[in-house]
Amino acid sequence: MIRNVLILLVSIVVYLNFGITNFLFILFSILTTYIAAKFLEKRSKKIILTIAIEINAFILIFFKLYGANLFPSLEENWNLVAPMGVSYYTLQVISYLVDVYKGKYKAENNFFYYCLYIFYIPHLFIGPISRYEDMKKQFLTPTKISFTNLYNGALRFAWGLLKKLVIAGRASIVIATITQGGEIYQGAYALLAMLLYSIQLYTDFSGGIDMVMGVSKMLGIELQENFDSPYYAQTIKEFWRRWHISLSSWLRDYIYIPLGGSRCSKIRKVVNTLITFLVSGFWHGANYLLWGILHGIFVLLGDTLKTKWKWLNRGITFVLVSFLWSFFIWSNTGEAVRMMGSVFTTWNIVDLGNNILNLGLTFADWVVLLVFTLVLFVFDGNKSKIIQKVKKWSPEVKTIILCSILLCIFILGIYGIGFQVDDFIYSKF
Amino acid sequence: MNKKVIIVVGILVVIIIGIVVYLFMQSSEDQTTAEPQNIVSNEAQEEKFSVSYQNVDITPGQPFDADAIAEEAEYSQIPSCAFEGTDNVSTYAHVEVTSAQINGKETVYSVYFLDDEVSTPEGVKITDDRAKVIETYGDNYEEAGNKITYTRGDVQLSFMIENDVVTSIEYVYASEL
Amino acid sequence: MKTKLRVITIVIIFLLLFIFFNRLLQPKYMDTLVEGSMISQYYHEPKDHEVVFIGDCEVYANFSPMVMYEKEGIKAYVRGSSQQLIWQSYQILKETLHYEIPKIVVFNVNSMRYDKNSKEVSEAYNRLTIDNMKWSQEKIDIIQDSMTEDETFLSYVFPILRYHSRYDELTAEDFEYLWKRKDNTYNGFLINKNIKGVTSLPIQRRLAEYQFSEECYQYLDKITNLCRENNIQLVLIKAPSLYPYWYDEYDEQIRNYANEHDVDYYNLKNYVDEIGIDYSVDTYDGGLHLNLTGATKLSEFFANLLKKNYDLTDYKGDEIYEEKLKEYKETIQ
Repeated sequence: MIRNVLILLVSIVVYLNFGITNFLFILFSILTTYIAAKFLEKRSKKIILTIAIEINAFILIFFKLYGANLFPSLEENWNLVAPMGVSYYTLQVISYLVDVYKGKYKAENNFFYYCLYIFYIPHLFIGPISRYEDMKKQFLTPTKISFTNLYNGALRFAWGLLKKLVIAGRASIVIATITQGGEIYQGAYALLAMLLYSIQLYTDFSGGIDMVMGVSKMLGIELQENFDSPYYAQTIKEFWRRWHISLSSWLRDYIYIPLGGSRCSKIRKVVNTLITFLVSGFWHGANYLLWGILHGIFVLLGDTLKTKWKWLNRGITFVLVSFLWSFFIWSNTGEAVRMMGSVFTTWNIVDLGNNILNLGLTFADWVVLLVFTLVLFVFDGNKSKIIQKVKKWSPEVKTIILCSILLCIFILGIYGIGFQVDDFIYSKF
Repeated sequence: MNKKVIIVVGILVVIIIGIVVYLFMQSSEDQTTAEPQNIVSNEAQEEKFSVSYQNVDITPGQPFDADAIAEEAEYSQIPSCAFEGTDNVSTYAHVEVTSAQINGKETVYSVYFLDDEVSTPEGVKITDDRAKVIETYGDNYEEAGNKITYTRGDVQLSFMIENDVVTSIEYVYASEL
Repeated sequence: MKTKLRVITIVIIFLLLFIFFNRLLQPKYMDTLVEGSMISQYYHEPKDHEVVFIGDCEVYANFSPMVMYEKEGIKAYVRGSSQQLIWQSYQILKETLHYEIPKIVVFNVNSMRYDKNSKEVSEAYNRLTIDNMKWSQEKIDIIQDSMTEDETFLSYVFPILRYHSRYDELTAEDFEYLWKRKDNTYNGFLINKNIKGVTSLPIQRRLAEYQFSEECYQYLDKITNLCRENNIQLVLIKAPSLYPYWYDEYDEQIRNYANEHDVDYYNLKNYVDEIGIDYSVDTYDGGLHLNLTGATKLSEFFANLLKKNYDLTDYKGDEIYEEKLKEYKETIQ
């Protein structure tokens, strides 16, 4: 129990660091939903649910629109900044409300636990988007802090940091060079940026999640996995079952299924899917609606693009996903489309080859990037086997691996002066 | 009936939140938690300084092509004390251009006017008065000592004004090197 | 129990590896960028100097203690470093006083023009001065006084945090001098034999502000007080150079300061003819710093000036210094 109190205290202190306004916003969400849930329990009135969701969704929607520069006049007058983690905790409070309304579980009496659920700082910024019932179970399970947990958690944390600093950091340098370099970087350069961005986003985001999981593990808390080797997916549909799982399942449970899901007419199903992906796009930011729709269309196409060769399917899916990330690389939609087009119209692969060492990485950096990406690729392909093995390792082996990873990070990580690592990409969505 | 209620309540809520947000903002105006954004926005076409000498562009931040200028310059190199790289100073009859290698290109770093034979493209020259400067460039400047500085994009234009007379004019590339 | 022991052993091995990589990745400043090694060479010198110089490149390039010894038997040491800013000079002086109390401290006032906001303050130069200092209160203070916005204290404690990106730039130098270092100055004087005479110089620009900043004066006061407390004669100098311009307004401020605080000030620019400096041959970079011939002339002149005006011991015949002098003469041949 002391652990829980400590977690909440630390979480609140960390969160307060981002400013009192942030804190008031999140507190507002917590209070409205906590109280609304209590009412819902007594009288299951739809209107209470609607209002509570509306209020909270409104804040999120407002900041998404604001983030997309849709209110230029507001920006001039207000120095407005989206509360940290608003994208994540809003989804969590909504899921809580809906679950209580549907009678999946009772509204929480203990305000402390509800606060802990929302404020739990490891998952507040980049997810995973947890469900209340899972989290409460974790909080209530009395866990001793054990060496095994500490070790496994630390290993996972270090592995995540390695992915972020060694792989994502390097990829981001090249992408920055290409996106900020102007007209000459098109065609093959754009394609390179897209493929690298796939790697960057995955290593950055899943690295962050690994760190969240690692810390949680050390604290004796198990969170839902958020990735399942996504680039091994054979179709876009499968990709969404493996990528950002907590978001996909949230969208499924609280958007897609309430809309009617797939148990209705074909047209309705198409519409439902598209709406779900529109929401997904909007959640990432108001600029990404087109990205959402396109993903929706590919999901609807489903297996029709599938060939009988497993690896070909994976390759196609990877390239498709990479192309669609263009909307994230070039935030201006027109620019993104132009760049996608340039891949087919501008043939400058030779030029890229000659210029490859002028994109911000030295030869050794490229080697490091490729080697570690390969390691990650192999790891992802045999994830469950490897994890089983890791669990059986003796403390000595674990120590050696942990120390080696840390040493790798110290030497090969992209950090410090000369290298400026971005914040976690997914924390701003 | 029910729907109407929902709509009305919804609108009310929107208004209330609007007010709340506004109040929050009032209290957080000095707060500078920057939103992480890596959006490469298309900047609005803002006015930029440009300057040329003998019809050759010598705007700070742009590549410097000394050969294009017909006049022969006095040329001096100012090395840094320990590291590679030098400031290259070309002194012409009426302007002095400092350039340096930036990303492998000889780039104009600063342009310093030497006399009243040259004027800025907007028509201000040494010996003009302060009023002329303000009239030409507006009152959006920073003042330090007897120097007033205008910044547009990554170029700064400074005027030294002594006894109401412009005594020196300099353009400087203000990007971090 | 056995497991615990083994785990601890493994951790210790990795800590040693970590230390090893810290050393390996740190620049050695031996054959390239030698300016970074000067500060540390002082530590293994015999500490019986009567004159200690502090200041920027205008001291280590211009004053040769060996010449001063040969000429007047003066034992001097130059604790200069590239772009040594005044708050750094102060800490370096403080550190020096832990080892010895010289009779005279010579401070080159060129750095008075730079305060902590000026663009000349840079991480790269901070590193040259600080990296190889021994750990002491002064090192902690100098880091805190010097750090630019992006720097962290920790990166001075663990250089790997700063230099890890050198992993693919390592050269033979890094391995050769991994544990032992060599001396590449003579009592802090960096020999440069190149000749690049003055051809032309930039126009002397008017400045918006000639007044030295309050901050710099505070440090100058600190240096003055530190010398006074230790009964050291402080001698302010401005080394001869043609650029960056030493404005008359600057000169006047230092002159006034010297008068008010009862310290001596020599603007050696005024003695160029007497010294015999010929800027067409006596400089290695077109008038900023003197080369070997220029420095020799200046050192002879300055040794004579010190000898005449202050009570200094004539150490001529000192065994160690005779040996050093011999070596020095061979090097400059």
